[in-house]
Amino acid sequence: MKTDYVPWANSFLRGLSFSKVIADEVSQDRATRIIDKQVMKEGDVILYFAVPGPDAELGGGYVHSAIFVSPTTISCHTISRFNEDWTAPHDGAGFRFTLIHFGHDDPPIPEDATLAGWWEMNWRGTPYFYFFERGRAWYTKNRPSRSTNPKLGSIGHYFEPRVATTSDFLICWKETGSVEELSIGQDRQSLAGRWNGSEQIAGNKLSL
Amino acid sequence: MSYSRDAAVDYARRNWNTNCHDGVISIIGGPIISVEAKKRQLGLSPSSDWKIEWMRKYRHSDDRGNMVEEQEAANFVGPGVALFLCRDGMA
Repeated sequence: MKTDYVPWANSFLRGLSFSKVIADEVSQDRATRIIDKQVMKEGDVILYFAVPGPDAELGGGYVHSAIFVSPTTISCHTISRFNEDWTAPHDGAGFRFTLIHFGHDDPPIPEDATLAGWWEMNWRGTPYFYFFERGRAWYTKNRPSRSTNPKLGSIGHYFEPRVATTSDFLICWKETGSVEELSIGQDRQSLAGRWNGSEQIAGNKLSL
Repeated sequence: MSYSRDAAVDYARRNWNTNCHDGVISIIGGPIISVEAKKRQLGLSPSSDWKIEWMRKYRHSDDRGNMVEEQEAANFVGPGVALFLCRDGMA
């Protein structure tokens, strides 16, 4: 791909078979939480989205991109940067951020066999139904009736932790940029952890 | 299609402070500059002997001899000499 038109780069990168949109036009605090967890790797991409409005850069939309050269720093043109903080091109004022991770070299997740399938999670007193499958997760508020992958609802990606933590894995939800850090119970049938570092979330595996 | 993280980062490391394949640079507050067109305008030949290098916080004296600091600038670096390029595109 050769382009200086960021919207085209955005479409192209999303369409790659090995790309994972970790966060889709999320706020700076949500992007910060993900990046601080070192989910992004060298060579991954961040896209800067100007929120449309009368003062928006170029009228709004995707106006800049950069590649990560470390888990938290980027390189870009046309203002020349190398190994600068990912917020250097733009802070959060008027911008949202899309994080594209290339998953071709993601290591296998040891807990995959345990996680595979449906789980009923409870967050803020509301049941959510999660489906895990080889690094990807889906959630829906509708109770599933079959054991198969629904490929409906909101999508996320889960990883082994890359920073020191007591959790077994973390999920990044694409649309919200939320991060859930979860541990598998000793019974291998329960999950518990925290949503965005604060609120409790817990659940159990469903038998379908 | 394969993707090499090392190759991507190496490309950034080699090109971050010069133009890459698009052949243009930009300095804060100024227009996009075509490197090859600017070389022709300045009579820098042969073209292959001159490379554009980006600079940060460049201090120089203005027409009245006062020191000014450019947030960004660029140099055309050639055989034994460098030509300063400021944000209005003039060397």
